[in-house]
Amino acid sequence: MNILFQVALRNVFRNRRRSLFTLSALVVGLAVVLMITAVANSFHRFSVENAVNAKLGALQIHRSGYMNNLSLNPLSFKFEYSRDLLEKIESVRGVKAASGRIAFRGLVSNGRNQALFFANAVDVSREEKVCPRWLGALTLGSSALLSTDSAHAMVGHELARSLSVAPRAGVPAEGDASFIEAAPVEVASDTLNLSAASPEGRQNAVDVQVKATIRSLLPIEEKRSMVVPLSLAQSLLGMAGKVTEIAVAVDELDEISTVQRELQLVLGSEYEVSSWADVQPFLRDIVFRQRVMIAIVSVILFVLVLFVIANTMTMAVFERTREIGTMLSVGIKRGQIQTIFFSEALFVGVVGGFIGLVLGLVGVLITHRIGIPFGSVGFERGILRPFLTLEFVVAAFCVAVLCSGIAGIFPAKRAAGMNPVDALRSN
Amino acid sequence: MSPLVFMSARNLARNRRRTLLAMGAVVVGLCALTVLRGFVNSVQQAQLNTTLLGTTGMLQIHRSGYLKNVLSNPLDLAFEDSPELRNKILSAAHVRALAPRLQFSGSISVNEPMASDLANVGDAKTTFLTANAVDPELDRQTLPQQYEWLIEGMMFPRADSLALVVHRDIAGPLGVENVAANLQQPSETWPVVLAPDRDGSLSGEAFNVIGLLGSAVPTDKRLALAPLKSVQKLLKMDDQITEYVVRLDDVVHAAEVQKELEQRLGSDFEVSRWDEILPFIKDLIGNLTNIFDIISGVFLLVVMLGIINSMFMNVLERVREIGTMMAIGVKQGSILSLFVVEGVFLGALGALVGLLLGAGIVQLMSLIGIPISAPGSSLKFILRPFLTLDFVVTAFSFTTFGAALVSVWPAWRASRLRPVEALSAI
Repeated sequence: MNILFQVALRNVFRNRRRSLFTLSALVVGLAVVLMITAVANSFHRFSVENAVNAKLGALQIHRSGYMNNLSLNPLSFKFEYSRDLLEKIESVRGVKAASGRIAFRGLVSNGRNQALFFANAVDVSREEKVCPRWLGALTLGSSALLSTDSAHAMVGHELARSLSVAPRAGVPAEGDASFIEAAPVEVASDTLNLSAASPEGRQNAVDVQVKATIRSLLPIEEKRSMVVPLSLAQSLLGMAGKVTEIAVAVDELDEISTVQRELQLVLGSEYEVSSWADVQPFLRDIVFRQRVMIAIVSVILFVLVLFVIANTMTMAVFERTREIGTMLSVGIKRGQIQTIFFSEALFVGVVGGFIGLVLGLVGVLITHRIGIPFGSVGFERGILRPFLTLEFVVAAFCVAVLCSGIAGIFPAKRAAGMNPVDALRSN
Repeated sequence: MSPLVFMSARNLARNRRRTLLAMGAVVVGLCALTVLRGFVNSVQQAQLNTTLLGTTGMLQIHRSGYLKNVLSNPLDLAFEDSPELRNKILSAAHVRALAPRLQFSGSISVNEPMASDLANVGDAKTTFLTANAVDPELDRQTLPQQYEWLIEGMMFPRADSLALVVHRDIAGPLGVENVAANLQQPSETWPVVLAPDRDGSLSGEAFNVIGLLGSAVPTDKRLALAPLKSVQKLLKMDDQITEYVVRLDDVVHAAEVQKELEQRLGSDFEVSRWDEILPFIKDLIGNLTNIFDIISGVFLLVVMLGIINSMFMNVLERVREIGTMMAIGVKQGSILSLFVVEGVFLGALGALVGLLLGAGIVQLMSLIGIPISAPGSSLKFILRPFLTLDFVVTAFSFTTFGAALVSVWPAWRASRLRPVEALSAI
């Protein structure tokens, strides 16, 4: 090992306490940056997966123009829901599954009162593969829609309560549903009448049996929403064999833009492929904004750490002024002195960075194992599992070492620039 | 001034360069903290103002059961907007303004001169609309923020105008986005609003679209503003409204005014606070505060590490001096205090400079203004960062107290030195 590095190393150990505090600043800084990034990562993944798995699907396919025309008669953008189309979509690399849907609105009545509803008609046999948590939170006594159902519905809990309907206690649902105790409903029956207009404006009505009531943290969903089998919507709306939307699940959410491009290419200009971010710009913006905030905080934290290290290094230079004078007078070159001090800073950076890295990773691992319970209005309750990407860990470590190096430049220059006579004379 | 305090101040001044360096970390930390806080404050305020002064208001008054109502016709829960009722509300303490609103839904369609044949009915330019019928004067006093989202055109001047302000995203598809041109149009070509009244029968009236709203909240594309008197006439509901929106002089009084109004109005009415109507906004703001508190803690920790470091250096440098002091009979307690007071000075001075610097930057950012778009929309906000006295005092005392606390260790080491050894140290 180079003699200069050895001297630098020994200098670091000479004043252990001081080195310890400098190290701890770096360690705390890096560990905290890793932790907050990991928690933010998990929060983002949670919110996105929540939206994607429960409702949206990673990608959505519509007839061109649907997204821009959301407020005008969306049913007119119907298209053929054929096996060919599905096979075409599912043959694209990265696509996990696809499922057709119709989103429509209408009036629901129990014979005495009526209310507005927003319904999502889903292809029950396929929906689960696209949105594994499509059933969401059902109330006790509910049972999930089956692919054989054709005149059944799952209804928002508040909507059902107002219309005094509830499911007849049946076989419990299978699949990924969670069941929640709900306020008892004064049950009059379990049938409702739905009426809606076809794309051409013709009104039609049908009776459905309520199989489940859905709980949601969003009040609007409990008051207005409904899920029905696709076949029911197709006959009610006079849209046999047609859908307005195909939801697509992908293998890797991170690869979504590639899959989106491929799909668009395969389907041509007649269709438009949108990702969850296009459909829910609000969610995308929130995620983006939080990332920016975390980045700013990380940068400030690193600047602060840089300052503490520069501070200590400058003090070390002052403290050793006589020593530097001695070295200079016995013929050690200025460049070598600069290297000694610079290496000290770098050494602190590498060691501090390493300890910070280990501490941060252990912290992330522990919180990942235990999980952070999380719940907020608008989100399903769940557990956050903090995680980091390898790229970020490597980058954070490099930035930490770099910070330390930069912090060492100025004090090292200062040490190297001393006048031997003055330095020797100083106290 | 006690000689101790005087001495510590002189000690700091003695090695100015080192003092400056040690203070540097405190200054940078506090400055960053202050700027960040100013920024977070403005973000939170923007979120709050959107709700309190733009969409929901601070308090809302409805007929009992209105908010829980699901069944189709909310108009059934309308009530009479009488001067007595208004006075009852306005005379309560802290109430600053009040706006009557009639919320209704219907459809809006635009006559398409070319599409006369029945085959094209499916393409008719019709869409659903949820509108707040408002008195323009009172609404502007109560929800002023709303008018900053008026991106084009203007608000209708009177409550009996025949004009609408709609969301930009539905004006485009309807083909009425050119509001300047709309003003020139004869009333036969105006869009028609069809709405069911309380009996369910449809009535229609032509309204000109004279203003466009941008979106500040993600799900309000179908929300429009309509003149109160005209809508009351259309729905055959003269003087009837569905809600009062109340603005207070300060939102902190919301709970207290809510109680007061509930007592005055009796059980026929329900008074709701903004955070009862939109609980997740409060959650969102609370989350941001929590995150910021954690970050502040980390910043202060790093700053404290810097102080403890330089205090040890301080002690190390003056070992001989400490020996001398002890030899001439200065008590251990006094030496301990001497160093702790030095630490306090360091922290307090650094905090002061950092806060001043930070406050300066915040002031500058506030003068320039930070343009930012609301999540999920293209509407620009100008953020104006600001600080509260509360934060300044807390940050200052935390730093000073923290500096005192972390100085105790080096100071204690100094006070435990053995005079003889200390004197013989180099």
